[in-house]
Amino acid sequence: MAIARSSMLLGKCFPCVKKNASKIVVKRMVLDKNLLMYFDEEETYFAHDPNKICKTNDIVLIEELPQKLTKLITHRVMEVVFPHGDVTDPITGKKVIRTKYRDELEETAELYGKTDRGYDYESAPPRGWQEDKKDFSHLETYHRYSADDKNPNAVDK
Amino acid sequence: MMRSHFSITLMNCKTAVSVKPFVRMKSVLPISWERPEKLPPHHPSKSGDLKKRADIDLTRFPHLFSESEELKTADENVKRIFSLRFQKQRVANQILKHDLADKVRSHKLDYTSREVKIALLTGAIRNLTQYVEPLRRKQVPGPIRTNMKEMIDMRKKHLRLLRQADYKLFEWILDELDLEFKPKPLVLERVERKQSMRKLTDQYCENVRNDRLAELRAEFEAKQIPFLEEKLAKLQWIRENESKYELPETVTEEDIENARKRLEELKLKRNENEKQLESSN
Repeated sequence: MAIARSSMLLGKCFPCVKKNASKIVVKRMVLDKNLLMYFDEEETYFAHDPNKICKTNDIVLIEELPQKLTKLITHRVMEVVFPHGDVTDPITGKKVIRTKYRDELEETAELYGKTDRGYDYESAPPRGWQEDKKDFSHLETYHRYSADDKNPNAVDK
Repeated sequence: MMRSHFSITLMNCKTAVSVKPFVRMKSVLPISWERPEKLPPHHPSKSGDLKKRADIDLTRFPHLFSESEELKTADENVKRIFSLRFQKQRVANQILKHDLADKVRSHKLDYTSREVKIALLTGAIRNLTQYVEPLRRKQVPGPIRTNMKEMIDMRKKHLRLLRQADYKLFEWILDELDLEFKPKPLVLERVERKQSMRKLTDQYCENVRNDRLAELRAEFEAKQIPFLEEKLAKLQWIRENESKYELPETVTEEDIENARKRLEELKLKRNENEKQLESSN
């Protein structure tokens, strides 16, 4: 079943080889009339993103361009709605870790006796400082198929 | 069922006959393929562990007695007997594990948070790796092999989930424990000769195409400056002659100025590029 097109879409960012662009996967529920059940249907878009503001697994809002930039790039990234692993609760405006607020966890730690580990949320650098050093989550990996292959995207099987 | 004459002779034949010999496909192109070596799960490129097990101070006490006041004030001989020199290997391993966990622990009783689990697993993996590394695969007991692989996979899972929950902490943990995180490939593919040859051929063709395009580009770029110089000279000559013989004007001052500007810009750009290349070398 064809998916109805709209100018603004909410999707998830996936690792992408292309420069100046991000791969966004939009998931929608489509009704199967025979089974009377809804099923996931995914569609991939390439959105113009020269500053690479979105990282893998971010939830982003994209907008359709008035004209296609290239054969593939049809949209542009408007904003990152939920940065992956750095989510803010929209109601209280506090930072969240899974089902708990960061403040709550720090309070608990203080009650038990806080240790002097060298990590603090306020002084921690913004996410992405380990990119290409120890964190390679932005790469689109594949299984190494040749012994001569020295590409960092290759993963040993 | 009717059998052909050929099959009957084959069946009667006492020695083995190969009907269709195996022929390996050879590429005309200068491409060679070798199957990637199969690595053990504890190999750094697979496990993502960039550091090996740290050496331990043998005068330390076991984890259980580490905070004992009585032992601290005890006799030298008692201290010596309680030290790691007279303990089993697993006691030292336990200390190493807890050292790593202490680095990342947020409070004293934190034994179940994701970061502590990762640290404890890392300690266990490093301890086992030291034991397994010099041995061949079959010399390692099966349960240990599986246990180790499971621990490595579990650590990867915890890292993935920590990244999802708290990206900043995830990056700090990677730095603190010297770990590397690479996501799993989205598509599972078998490593096959034919498929790999096809991929390598595609790559080779693309490289050839890019090289030729670069060559052509260099060729055109080399012609750019002489062409513009010639153009400027000719424009000036036309303008001079037109004014001399009082012909209708076809070349204006602006055209000449534009050509000169373009030439100067191009020369500047080339000089900058050369300087950059020299500095990078």
